[in-house]
Amino acid sequence: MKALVSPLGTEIQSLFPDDSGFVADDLYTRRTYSKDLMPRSHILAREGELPEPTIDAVVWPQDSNMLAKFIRAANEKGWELYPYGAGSGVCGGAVPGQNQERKRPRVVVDLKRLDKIEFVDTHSQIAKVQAGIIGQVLEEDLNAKGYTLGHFPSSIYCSSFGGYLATRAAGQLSTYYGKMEDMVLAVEGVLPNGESFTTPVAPRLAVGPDWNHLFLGSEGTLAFLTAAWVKIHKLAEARRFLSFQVESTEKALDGVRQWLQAGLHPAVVRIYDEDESRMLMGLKSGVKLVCVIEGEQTLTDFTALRINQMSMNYTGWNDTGEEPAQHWWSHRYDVSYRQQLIMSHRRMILDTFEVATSWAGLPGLHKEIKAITDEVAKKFPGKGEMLVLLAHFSHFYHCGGNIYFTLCGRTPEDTPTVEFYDGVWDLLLKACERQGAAISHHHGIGRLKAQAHKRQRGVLHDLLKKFKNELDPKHLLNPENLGL
Amino acid sequence: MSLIQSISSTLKTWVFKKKLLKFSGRFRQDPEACFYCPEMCRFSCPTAETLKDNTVTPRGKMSLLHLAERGFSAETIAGSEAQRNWYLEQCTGCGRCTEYCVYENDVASNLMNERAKYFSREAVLKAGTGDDAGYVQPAAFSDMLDELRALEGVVLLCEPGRRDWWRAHPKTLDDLGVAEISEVQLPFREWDWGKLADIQIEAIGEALGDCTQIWVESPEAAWFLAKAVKEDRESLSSEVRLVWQRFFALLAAREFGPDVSFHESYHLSRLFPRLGYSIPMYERGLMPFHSGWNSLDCGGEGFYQLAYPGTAREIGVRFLHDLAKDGRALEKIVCQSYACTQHLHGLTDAKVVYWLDELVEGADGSNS
Repeated sequence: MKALVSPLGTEIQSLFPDDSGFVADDLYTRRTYSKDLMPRSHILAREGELPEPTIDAVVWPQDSNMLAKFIRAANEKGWELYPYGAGSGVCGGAVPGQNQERKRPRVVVDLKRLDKIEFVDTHSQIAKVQAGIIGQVLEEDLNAKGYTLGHFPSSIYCSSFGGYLATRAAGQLSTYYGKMEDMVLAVEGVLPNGESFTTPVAPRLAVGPDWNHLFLGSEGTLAFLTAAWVKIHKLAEARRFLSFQVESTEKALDGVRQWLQAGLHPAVVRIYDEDESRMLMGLKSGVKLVCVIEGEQTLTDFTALRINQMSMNYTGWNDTGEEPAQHWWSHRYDVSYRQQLIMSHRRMILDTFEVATSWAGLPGLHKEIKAITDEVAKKFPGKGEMLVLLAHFSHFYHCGGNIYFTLCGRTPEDTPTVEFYDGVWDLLLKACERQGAAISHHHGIGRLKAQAHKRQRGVLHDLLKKFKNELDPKHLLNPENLGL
Repeated sequence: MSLIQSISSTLKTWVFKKKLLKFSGRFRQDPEACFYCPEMCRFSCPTAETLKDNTVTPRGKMSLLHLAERGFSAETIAGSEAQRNWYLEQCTGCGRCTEYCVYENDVASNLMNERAKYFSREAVLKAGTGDDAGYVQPAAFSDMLDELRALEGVVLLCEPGRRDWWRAHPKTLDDLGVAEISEVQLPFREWDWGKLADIQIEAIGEALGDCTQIWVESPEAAWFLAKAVKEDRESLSSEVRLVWQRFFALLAAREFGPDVSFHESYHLSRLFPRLGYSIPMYERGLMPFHSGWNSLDCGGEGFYQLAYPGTAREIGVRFLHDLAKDGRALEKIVCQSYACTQHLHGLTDAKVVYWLDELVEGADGSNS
């Protein structure tokens, strides 16, 4: 058992005398829970002195009743609360920022003990899932019953279901199974005053605004989400792999647009732009496209047949067989772990930026953001500067898609790494804003994109703040996240 | 693309692949890898799975080692040496983190080695002879040698407290050909920690000189005899065999046919549910599609029980609490580790059974 070292820890523990491990406030716990996987946290921890912890205690409620009781106490005492799942967020949404002004005691609420699948209704294909369960564990438990959620983020081994709800997450097979907001029928949670709520559980309803959409993506600023009713699917009967080498990104995008607008829904479509195809895939020219189709046998076969038929008529497209797509499938979670190799190097920065816009806007957005490498070179002209910006397109819709940029750079010798990192992000976000695109497709806003979010949403952000003020007048829930 | 752009692009690709997709300085399989990792190993760790605490994931513990490598003191990192050590001790030694590591980092050994650095000698059985200046000759060691010297023929070395159970199974003993049973506690933990002198290891082999065949109940003790005494020191001539392997082979042959051969942990996972047992080990990640039953590797065996009894109990309480909350009432828990059964007794109303008992009954049910 960790020994309590502060009056705050002792006071919190006294609320739950029967659960001796409810709270911890020692230095290493506070250090660990003061950061998530935002690369900025890594840079701060990698270079120079260790940053001071930004939080005062961590609690582990066992169920939603304990959580509600704790939130009521926190409301009375004026403790700031930060919801925490697996800590794999990359936008700093789960922990106070390093420069966030300290006003009140700060408590991280780790929800991982709420980790159950409460029920599975195989007839309606609905499951009720608690927020703290790790993605891979949830998937395996459903698989054991013959079902899948269909949500496969590359972070599936290290991210929690609550995090998916909080950020409106998207998985790799989302073009078939949908995104988190497509999967959720209803959510259960606790409001900032400690009151529990459940949104209506129905396949569809017309009873005023959609409450789910208010809470999904609110990143712990409006309520603690403790569980959700989600759609589940029978495990895929069949899976087909297709790959193509296409003359250019534009041609690849146009072909995929026609698939989607014809009503075809492959599970995975990934187009790697020229730079990523060359640097990571070893292509001498053109771009690589991998496609995975899965689901019921006949439908899968038909989708593959129709995609092949359409692709044969496209100019600049060459069928490269199953192997490239199969290779991607067998390495589909690797990328998250390879990125960390780069982060171990001093002065290196590495991050990802996922944006979304219409089909018409995608080529322009791609070009505009890629062009920031020149802007960075002008803004940080020092010796040793380097910035590589790779991109792939990996989630598609009837009307458009996303672009997933990976930026990897070396900070000039005379510039602090964090300053370079912040400067690059500023240019990235402004380039995206100029194109009127969404500044996040599925990672969320957090603290990283909070200012850009405010700029872009304008009056709607003011409206959201008014709603936050009404719901959480003391601003105890994840203050400053989303710019609130 | 111009020539300059082409050269620049090729250079960047080379730097990216040859320099950056490696850990800094050299390719290292050490704590640095864990510090930057998003931790794929989280759910491989029974402690992290049970406590749901990011500080005790393999990454959380390895980060302590990385920060120490970078020169930060235990006080700076964790407040004090004792508090730092507390985190390192939240480990069952099960080794799953090593199995799962995408960087092929031997996480379990790193943690074990770090613990071994600060283990106080009082925490272990001090063993030695007058010839070894580093250790004091304790009475316990010479008593153990005396007991071993008294053994002859085919013998069974069982866990402390297990002799009566074996005596109640004469048919099994006959089948093994056992003439004598000893509850002697071999110093395999001290060997594992590098705290057993060569001369002591040799003395153990010599003391067993009259034995023609040695059956051993504990895997660690069997490994110690087979590896340290027989193979490395060559002071033991008799054969060493792990007793449960015999019964396991009988059961596996009965259930799957004589030609089937499995990896141990894999066939355990298949065999036990087939026999109708629920086993609290082999966590779900190892066999994701076969684990429709309650499982946890609590790692209660060996030095874990000796060194961290408080934590073992805490993990047991949390595990049982979670199962009950989940509406999964346990009727029976089968443990691979005898020490584990000792932890769980008193924590649950479920029947707690040492798995060897089940194995022997299953394979040779006419015993008692």
